[in-house]
Amino acid sequence: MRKRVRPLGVMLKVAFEADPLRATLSIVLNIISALASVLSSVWLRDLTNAAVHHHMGDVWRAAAGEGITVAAAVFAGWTGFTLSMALREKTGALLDQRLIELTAGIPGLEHHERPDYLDKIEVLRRQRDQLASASEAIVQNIAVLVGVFTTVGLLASLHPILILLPLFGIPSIIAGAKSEQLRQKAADDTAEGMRVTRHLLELATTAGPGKELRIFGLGRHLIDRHHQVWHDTDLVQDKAQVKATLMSGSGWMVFGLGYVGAIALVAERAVQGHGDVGSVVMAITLAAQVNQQVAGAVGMMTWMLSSLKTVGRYLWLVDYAAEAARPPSHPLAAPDRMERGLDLTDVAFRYPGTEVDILHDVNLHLPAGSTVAVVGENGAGKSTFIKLLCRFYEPTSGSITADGIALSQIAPDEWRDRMSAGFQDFARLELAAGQTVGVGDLPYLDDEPVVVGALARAGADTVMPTLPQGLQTQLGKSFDDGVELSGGQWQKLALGRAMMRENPLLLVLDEPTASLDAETEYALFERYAGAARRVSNETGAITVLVSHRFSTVRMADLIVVIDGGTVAEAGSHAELLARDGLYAELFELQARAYR
Amino acid sequence: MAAGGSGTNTETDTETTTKKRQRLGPAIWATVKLLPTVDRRRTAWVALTVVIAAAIPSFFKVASGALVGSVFVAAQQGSHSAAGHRVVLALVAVGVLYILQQTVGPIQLAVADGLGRRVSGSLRERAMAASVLPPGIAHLEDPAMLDKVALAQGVGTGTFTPRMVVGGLAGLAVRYLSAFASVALLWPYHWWMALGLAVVFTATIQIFRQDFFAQIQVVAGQAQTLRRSAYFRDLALTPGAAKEARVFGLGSWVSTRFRESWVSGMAHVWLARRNSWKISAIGPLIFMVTEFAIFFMLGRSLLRGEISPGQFTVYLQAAGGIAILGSLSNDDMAVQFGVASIPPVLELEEAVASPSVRLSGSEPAAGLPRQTIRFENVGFHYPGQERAIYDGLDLEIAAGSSLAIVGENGAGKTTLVKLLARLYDPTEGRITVDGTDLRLLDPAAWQRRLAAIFQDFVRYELPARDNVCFGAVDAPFDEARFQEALSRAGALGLLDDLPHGWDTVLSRQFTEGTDLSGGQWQRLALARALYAADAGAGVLVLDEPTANLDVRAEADIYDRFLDLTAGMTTILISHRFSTVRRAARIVVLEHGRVSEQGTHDELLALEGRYAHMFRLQASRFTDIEGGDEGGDDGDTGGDEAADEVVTSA
Repeated sequence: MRKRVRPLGVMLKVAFEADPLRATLSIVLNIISALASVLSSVWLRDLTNAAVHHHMGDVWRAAAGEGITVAAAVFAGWTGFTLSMALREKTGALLDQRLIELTAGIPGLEHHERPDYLDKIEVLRRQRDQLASASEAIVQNIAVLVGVFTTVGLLASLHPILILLPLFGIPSIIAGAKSEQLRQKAADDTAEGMRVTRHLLELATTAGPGKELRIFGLGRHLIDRHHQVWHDTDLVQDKAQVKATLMSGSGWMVFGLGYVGAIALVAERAVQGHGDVGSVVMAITLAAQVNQQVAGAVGMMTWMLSSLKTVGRYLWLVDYAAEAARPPSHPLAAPDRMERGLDLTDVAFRYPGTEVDILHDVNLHLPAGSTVAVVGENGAGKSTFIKLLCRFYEPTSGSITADGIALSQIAPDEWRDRMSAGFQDFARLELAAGQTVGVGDLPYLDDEPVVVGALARAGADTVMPTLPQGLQTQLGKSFDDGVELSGGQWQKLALGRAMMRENPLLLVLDEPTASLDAETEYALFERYAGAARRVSNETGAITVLVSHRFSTVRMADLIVVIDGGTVAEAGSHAELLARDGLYAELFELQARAYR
Repeated sequence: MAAGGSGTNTETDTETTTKKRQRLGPAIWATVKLLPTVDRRRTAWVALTVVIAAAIPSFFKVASGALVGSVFVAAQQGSHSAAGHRVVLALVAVGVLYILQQTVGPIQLAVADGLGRRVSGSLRERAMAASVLPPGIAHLEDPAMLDKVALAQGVGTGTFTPRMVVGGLAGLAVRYLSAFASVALLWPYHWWMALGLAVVFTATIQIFRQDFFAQIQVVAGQAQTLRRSAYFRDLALTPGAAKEARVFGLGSWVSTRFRESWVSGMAHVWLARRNSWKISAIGPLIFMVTEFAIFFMLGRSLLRGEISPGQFTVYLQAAGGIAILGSLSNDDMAVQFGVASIPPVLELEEAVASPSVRLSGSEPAAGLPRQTIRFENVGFHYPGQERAIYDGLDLEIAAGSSLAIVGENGAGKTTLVKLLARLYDPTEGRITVDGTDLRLLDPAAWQRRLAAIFQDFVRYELPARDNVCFGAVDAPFDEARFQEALSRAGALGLLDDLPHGWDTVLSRQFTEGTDLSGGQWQRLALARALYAADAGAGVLVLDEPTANLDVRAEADIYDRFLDLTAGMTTILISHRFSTVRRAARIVVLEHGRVSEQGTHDELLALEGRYAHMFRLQASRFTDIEGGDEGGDDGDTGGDEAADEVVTSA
């Protein structure tokens, strides 16, 4: 039960936090709307009876009552609509903000990488509209229920047995819910087909694939394939529609019988002189409403329940974030400067939810003030190694220490304050160009000299002259005034970002120059290594570089070769060549091309 | 309007509506005319069910009037009178009509939905055909045309699909037809009242409708600012920036920026909405007066005996039936925001009929080229762009041999392939194949002579097998050829990562689907090109075919380069000299022309641009003992190379 109530409570609370006044008004107006249609049939009865019994005064009164009721209903409807639109916007924004804080507040990367978590968050992101509408559904549910009870109460006043009328609605309500399930199932069953057709449509109507599609003559094939898949989904949906329609139709027959029975009862009483004509008129309109209302309540309930599924994902994230963001029990400070270096002792790692160790038996000493190159073939575990240093994950076993302090005892934020990084899959931050770089050290976000300095260190000063408004230029195609950069330009800005923090303890460069050519990478790294050697006296900074290019790699003080999830060899370029192992082999592969 | 919760989803669609304000009337008419051409039988069914669904409520009103009337009489004359029998008859009629009314509704919806889905499918296919079937590609790259393509794409990607539009149109038809029937019912009472109510309800809802759509448009008007807030939100929620956001501690900064940009966007919205309460006040007043008048007049007429209780019931319900003109539903939304996506498809079809896209030519291309492909004094600039990519380009490609093209980015290497593949015709000069002007050849037939892997090769989110066989989709599947292409592209090892073998769908979005690494995708794309070549395409184009591969894989490809391309007319574009040097001939493109050409050895001997670039890279490896000197040597050169790459896309 608590499990059911928690989402309701959370969502209602969010709406009231987002805008308490509108949330309250929204409930009130929705109830007015729901009551108005019921009240109208009362005025109708009074009007009929007044006219039949020649009471002109009562005609006036009924007409006035109806006028006011309708005015109230329309007012509540229109205002309520505007109101709930604003409320939904505000609730949505508040929930968005919570989502941002939750996801960004988790220090690790598991939720961004582990497939099932990734899927959950992506679904949550795409369906987050439902979160805001969940609060709305709850409010409307309250109103609809008030309407149902009033209607049934009025009918019972005509004859107590009419209180049973809603029972006749049960089959049609069940049928309605079932047929909705059928349609939903058809939608789910065809979802993958629809995804295929969407992919085909996008392939056919965008420029990039256009070259290849024409050369291979694929256009007609893609259209035919779209036709076939679309047709298949059509058939599935047709079938579901027929079934669903038959089902809800038979449900309505049952209610129809109850409806006729109810009216027959009231009419019979009127004919017998036990009731008035007005009651017959009221029964005809009111009884017709019962089922609509109950069906509406059920519809609302289904809507609410489906929204609550999304709310469930949200609450999962809330709980997960609370668990994942838990700080170390006795946090220690990161060292001011690195004296000895980083030590990895018997480090092993497997991704949560998987069975295979990606890294195992890693023992390594990265001396303070050194530049370290990490090489290895695709899938050897290089990136995972880097992720452990950045503390995106904690080792499954073994330990990483900085000058003897276990990293796990340092709060992740604190550790990251003292490091910087550039990645192959760098972010294309669509901000003003200066900020795209400046976020690398937030306190200096808009400090132009600092940003320009970082750009120079990254060899990215060549990018600035190409931007129409210099550092102020909005980047990215998401924005109308945004300037789109080439892959190389984006990468240089990302490197500039990595260079913002001048004195980190650890600088990680995970193939940050893959879209630049070998020459540029070499020049950059050489320049950086030079600078790093100079500042390493101050902080003992360690630079870790991952690269496929041996022309660059050979410059490092220490080269670590990772193979099969562990350190295969480590040493200087000359040492490793002399060893004639994997490093020598890979180096020779590349060198050969130039002889 | 209440349910559905489609609130914020409408942003993008309404934005398109604002940008290109389609007149609603013509768009609706164009859509209605389209229906029978898609499915005549279903259109007829929709029309029939719409008419029935609109007519039944009026019959119900008449029947319930008869019931009330006969109850009134029977109450005076007794249940065994003629009126008493009429009560029973009327009751049966009311019951039957009530059940019909409730069942016809869902049937009408289902039938309209069936038609709607077919209209959606048909329009999507027409948008695809108009985009992909013309041999030229100008319409997908020319900004002026691109707009049309993007709008046409809306039939597949918009929030309001044609399926919903058709459903909406049917719903509106039911609404207006049944209101019309109610006008007819009320006509005998006072024709002016029937007409008057119709006018009042229509006019009143119009006020609200405009206000309502204006409120949505206001949000759309702030799309830029709101897109910024959406951007910050997705930055946190998607994995793209996750690593850097953590390293640089951006979490709360992103959250603050989200809030700021959302508030600044919505501030305008709230300001614009400030006056909407006035409309909320006027509307109810009008409804109050109208409703009062209806009740009062009908009540007085009944009281005076001008109408019977039966007529009274009919007229009262008829007035209520006219009042549905004063309502707004999801149908209005679907039509208002969805219908605009339909005419662009028809417009796109007209637009791509232009000669620059259709491209002329009808001569057969089978077996070409046998001798040479020649670029003769070719000049080219993209439509709508000033900058000339080529100016007097002369180039000869010998059939059956390999040619590598090197040059800075922006020198026009990929454009060369586009011209060769006849995705564009040159603006000046001509390209000949064995002496025949390319413009005389049937463009589709010539394109089939080519096999290619582009730098931005396509990742088909379809079964792995299709990713290879798409090289020759018209040829019957050939297992031996398939295996051979995979093996030559070094892609056989992929099988280990494919849970359902070659039938595994290559997208994680599918159950049992899987995604590949960049290198794996590239191997598949290479296999596709090789499959096409083996199936008979005579010209192989390799545009940076190893960019995503690791050291060993790349070395493997260039070791086998000669074997892979044996006997084929091969065009290789690459930054990597390791592969380039294997080509039989190398050309250097500079300033829209060929600046150097020859074999690798010839170009080294020439000591020109090529030699400079090659030596720069080679120095890192050849000088094994004294790498540092080599490094110093290359420093300035490195910056030059950096500039080249900066312009890459």
